[in-house]
Amino acid sequence: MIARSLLICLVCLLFTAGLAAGDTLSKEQINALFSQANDAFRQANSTVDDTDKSNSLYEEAVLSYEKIIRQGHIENPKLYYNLANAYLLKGDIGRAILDYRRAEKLDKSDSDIQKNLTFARGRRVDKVEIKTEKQVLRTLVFWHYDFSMRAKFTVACVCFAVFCLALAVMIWFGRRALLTTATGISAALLVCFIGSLAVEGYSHAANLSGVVVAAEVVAYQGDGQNYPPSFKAPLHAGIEFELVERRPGWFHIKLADDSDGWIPQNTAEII
Amino acid sequence: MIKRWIYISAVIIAAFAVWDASAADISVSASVDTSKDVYAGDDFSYQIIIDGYDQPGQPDLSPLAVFKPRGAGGGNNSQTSISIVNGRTTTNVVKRYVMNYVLTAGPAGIMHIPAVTVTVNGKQYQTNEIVLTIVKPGTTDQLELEVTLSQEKCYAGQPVILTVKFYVYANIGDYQFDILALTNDAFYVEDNEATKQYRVNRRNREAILLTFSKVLIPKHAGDIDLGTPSVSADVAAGRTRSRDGFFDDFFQSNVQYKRFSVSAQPLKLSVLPLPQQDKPNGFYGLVGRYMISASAAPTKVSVGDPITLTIKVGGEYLKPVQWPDLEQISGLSENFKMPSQKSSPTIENGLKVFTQTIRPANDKITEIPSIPLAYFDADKGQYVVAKTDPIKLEVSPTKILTTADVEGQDFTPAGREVEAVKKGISANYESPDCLQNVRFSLAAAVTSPVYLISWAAPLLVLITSVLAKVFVHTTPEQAARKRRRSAAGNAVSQLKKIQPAQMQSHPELLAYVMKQYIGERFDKVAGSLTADDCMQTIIDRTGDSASANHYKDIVSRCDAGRYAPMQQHLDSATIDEVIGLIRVIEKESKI
Repeated sequence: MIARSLLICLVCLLFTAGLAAGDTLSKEQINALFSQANDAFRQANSTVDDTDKSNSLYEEAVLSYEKIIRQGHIENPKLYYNLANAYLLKGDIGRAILDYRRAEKLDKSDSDIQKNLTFARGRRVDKVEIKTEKQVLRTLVFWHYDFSMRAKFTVACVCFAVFCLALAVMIWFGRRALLTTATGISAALLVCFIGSLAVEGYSHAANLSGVVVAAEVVAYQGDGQNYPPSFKAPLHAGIEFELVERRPGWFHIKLADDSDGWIPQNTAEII
Repeated sequence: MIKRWIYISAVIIAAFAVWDASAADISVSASVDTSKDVYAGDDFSYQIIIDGYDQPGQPDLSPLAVFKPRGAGGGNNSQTSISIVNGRTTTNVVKRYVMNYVLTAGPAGIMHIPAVTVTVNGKQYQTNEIVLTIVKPGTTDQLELEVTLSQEKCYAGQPVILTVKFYVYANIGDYQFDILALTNDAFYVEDNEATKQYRVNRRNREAILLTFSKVLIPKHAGDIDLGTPSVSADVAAGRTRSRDGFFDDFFQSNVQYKRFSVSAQPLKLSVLPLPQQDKPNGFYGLVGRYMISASAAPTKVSVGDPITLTIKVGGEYLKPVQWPDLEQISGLSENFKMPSQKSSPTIENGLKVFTQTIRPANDKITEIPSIPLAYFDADKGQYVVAKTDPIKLEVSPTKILTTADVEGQDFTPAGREVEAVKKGISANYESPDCLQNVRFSLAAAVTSPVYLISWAAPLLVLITSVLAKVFVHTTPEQAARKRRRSAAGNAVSQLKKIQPAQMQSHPELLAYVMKQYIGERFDKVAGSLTADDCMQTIIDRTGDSASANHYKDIVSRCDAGRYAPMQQHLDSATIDEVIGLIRVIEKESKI
């Protein structure tokens, strides 16, 4: 009886281990997939006249990039950027913007991501005015918007180190102009970056953003199709929103101009 | 036991009575607006009134389905009145909620609107049934309606024009057409001419003519009865008199209208089936007369160069005209590359224009072949295939650039500025760092070894410095301050240890303690202090000369006692005096 139980446990363990192994990719597999994706993307770019063929090749690149991300458990802004480029050239504006935003979330300082995201946004059907205050704020508190969390944390650590060491030196050798300046500057930067990290951490947890990926979706004034529409025309792919509330099958979304509506969950994805 | 059961029963009955009384306060009724006549086919207002409750109920409108009920909102109509009689305030609240609907009246006659079940606060109530008289509009010679079809016989798919002419000889308000052809599923209905208004003279009478037309495209063959078109309109029937006649005339607010209805001749349309014989390939249902033409530019190209092919289709009714199926045209699909996506056609000068870019696949092509358009000519009763003329092309092989071409100066513009295009998209990344996982978690980063060292090591240095400074490294000022603080305690402690017997044998002990106290307390060197120094120091720091003299006196006596111990009277009381003096000095000391 004990031997039988042990055998069953062993089989279960092997099965679980097999599942786990099947769900992840080895480094060689990831490299091979990356190479395949790049080849498909390059071939698609060189196919000028045959739209069907180029779309099929872009789709192949998309599948490979997505497999690396999903099954390789790799989060990299450049990978998301490549995926978004493939979607963009395939004509899927919604998913292109979604993946550019995911890339941007990981690296806000990459100018290529910003450039392509701007280009993709320009090709959206719908135009939503962004509030001027946000753009002003973006300029004033640039470090909050332009630096990634890793960069901000690194700078905060450096500032903290400078602050502590300067204080320690001041304790032993008294106040010097250079030390006082270093302490003041490092303290100010530390406050800025720690504050930015706190705000970003909170907003990541509390304010989820998303993008409409369906070609066209009607937003309603409530979580059901019996409610009147929220907008005069349907929303189109690529519209970015903040998630206000999530109910079974429905997202309550708020656009950049503060207008809101409910859309079916399967028509959008959270960044 | 019986008494107990009677008591319980009484309580239960009382509770039911209270519950029932509260439920009985709610009543539900229905009403319609009868201030105006309701004519056949008119919309009218229907209300469900809930008395005794200020929240909406849930009505089951299925009995009203025949009247096409539409919600028109609702509102809380509760009223609160407060009365004060002999200083006693009484508040009376009348709760009411009104739910509004719009219903459509049926034919003229007596109409019964059945009772509706309304669920209020979990309980069901029935409204009252309503009986309403639907009035049939009268007829009048002030209105006249003409509805005509461009033809009484046509083929399936052939557009037929329906023209409506409404002559009005009086002042009218609202009007509504009832034309079955426009709502009949047997037709595709398209706009033709929008509503226009003219002043005309008809049968020696001035009239206003409202006219519009629609295109009817029959979907199937067969005889279609289009019924009798009619129009009902509110015709001014008179005016009511009121005191404020001027404003009534100015705003025409006192005109009384009465509903009248007039009909046109009944309409019938016979739709013939399209013949199956000789139906050409590519025919998709166009009926009428159409022409097609095509042009291309440029016509002298190399293999792979784009050619803009423009196809124009003309005819009576262009809406059903579709993109020509270029892929099915022999000689076009084989010899030219065409993208599968097509641009939307445009209407220019009464022609539908289709534009497509094609690229010659080889240099043996000499022309763009004819493009056919199949339609059924209803006048001739036969199918016709219109075709464009072939377009001559000169296709040369693709030019291969040679060094000479590149170096040729004749056609290359010189000195042109290089201008970068800033918008667009950047290329993909292919470097191996794309596969580096950069997922970042704040919590994980704080405890990761690299970051841990970067923030914890400097912090440790700082903390260590502070601790070292506090506990190990003390300044002379700090030491002096500490000495001053502990001077009195040390002195008193040492004084208490001196035995009375020692006072006689070693009076210098007492002097030593007293000088040491002055030295430690006021930052003096104890060994060099004299009794006068002690006195002067105490005066300087406390201003208490009495205590200072007393202190000096004891110190002097102790000093003298070293040489003549028996002549000085020193005992335990002296120690107590010194302790007392020290406490006074401590109290009065300025530092």
